[in-house]
Amino acid sequence: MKRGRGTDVLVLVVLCAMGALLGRMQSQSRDKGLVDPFSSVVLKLVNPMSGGIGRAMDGTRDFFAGVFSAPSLRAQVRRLKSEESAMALYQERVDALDLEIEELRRLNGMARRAGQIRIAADVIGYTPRENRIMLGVGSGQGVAPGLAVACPEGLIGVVSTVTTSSCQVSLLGSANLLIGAMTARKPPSVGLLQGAGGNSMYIDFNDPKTDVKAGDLVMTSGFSEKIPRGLIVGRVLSVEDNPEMGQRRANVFPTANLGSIREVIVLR
Amino acid sequence: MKGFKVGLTALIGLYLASALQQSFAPRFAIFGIMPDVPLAFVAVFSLLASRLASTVVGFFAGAMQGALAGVNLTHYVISRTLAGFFGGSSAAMGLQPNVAVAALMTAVLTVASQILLFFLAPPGGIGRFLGDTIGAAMYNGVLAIPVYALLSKILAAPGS
Repeated sequence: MKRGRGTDVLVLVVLCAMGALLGRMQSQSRDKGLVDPFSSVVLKLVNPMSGGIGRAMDGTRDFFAGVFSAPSLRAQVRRLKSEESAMALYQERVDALDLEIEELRRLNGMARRAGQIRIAADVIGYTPRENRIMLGVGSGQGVAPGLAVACPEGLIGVVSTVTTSSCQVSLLGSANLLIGAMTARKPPSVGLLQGAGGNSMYIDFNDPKTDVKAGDLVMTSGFSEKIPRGLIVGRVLSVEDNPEMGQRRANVFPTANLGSIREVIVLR
Repeated sequence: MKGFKVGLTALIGLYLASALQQSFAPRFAIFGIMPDVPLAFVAVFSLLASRLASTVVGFFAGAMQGALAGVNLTHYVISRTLAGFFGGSSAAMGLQPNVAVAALMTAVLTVASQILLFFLAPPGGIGRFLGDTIGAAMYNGVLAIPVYALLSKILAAPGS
């Protein structure tokens, strides 16, 4: 403690300035959908270790779950296998129709539909405060910024930055996320879904008489090159009217439990 | 020799804390409240090391956490560097390191850092943020006990 307080304060100021510089580099790279060199090094160093610890924890949990619920799990596996066989026939028909649609689109000079290729990924990091998750797939597996990320319950977010082996996903509640969405009504009401922090989202409709009610299912509208149409997003929680602005706002709650997801699909 | 030991402990500790934040914290969340492992490490480390070393460790903890989170690197760096600086000033304040002081100091520094983060990067909902901050402070306080037990053995070993 012989060192002067002045030196320590100077170091503190210099380090804070370095932090500001690193943050600036990070923001510039993020705007381009990339990861800055410093973050890239940290991710490369930490991800293998955190992935290993995570797998060990999941393995231990699964082992004990297996020990205590083996009979019901076996019954479940048998049921799922029979369901899979039935689904395979249906899937063949769907794949054939999909190919036909793509061929017809190509012949008419239309662009390929988004979300036809599915890339399975493990969630290797979760930052709730930032509304982000990290996936163990990157540009090496064909992942690019802007792609939709989904789980069985529906859309959970959009890829924001990518490295060769990992990517960051902005979850639906992120305030900077805007996604074309519609209600599952006939005719559907279309608007822009925006994150409001945490698990909250909302859609502002420019027509104050828009037909939308609490409990309505909300899905993607597909007015995007990268996010396919019809992915479930959530349900309308409440509806607020703003007569002065001539708007109707639907508050939306996601169908997927964003904090407990371990495996997802990136739609390319 | 002591400088090398402190440096090596900081390096390994930060690496493990960052890896645990990614893997351990989401799996052991209680009612959605997660611990902040790097911050707990900085707080305990700052009790046992010099103010300068604590400030530098706080800087790297913030930088690594910000890099892993993907956003707000600056905010994380500033809040964690200041946590390290003030934690490292505990000796000057006459605080004698022990388990209780480590737990309390970690809880206080967690609240202070999160409040600073609140002003630097305001979150969506203040109610949820406050709840998370108090929960994380309690969680970190508990986490500080084993971290202190380990670090005090390493850094205060005879001949170090």
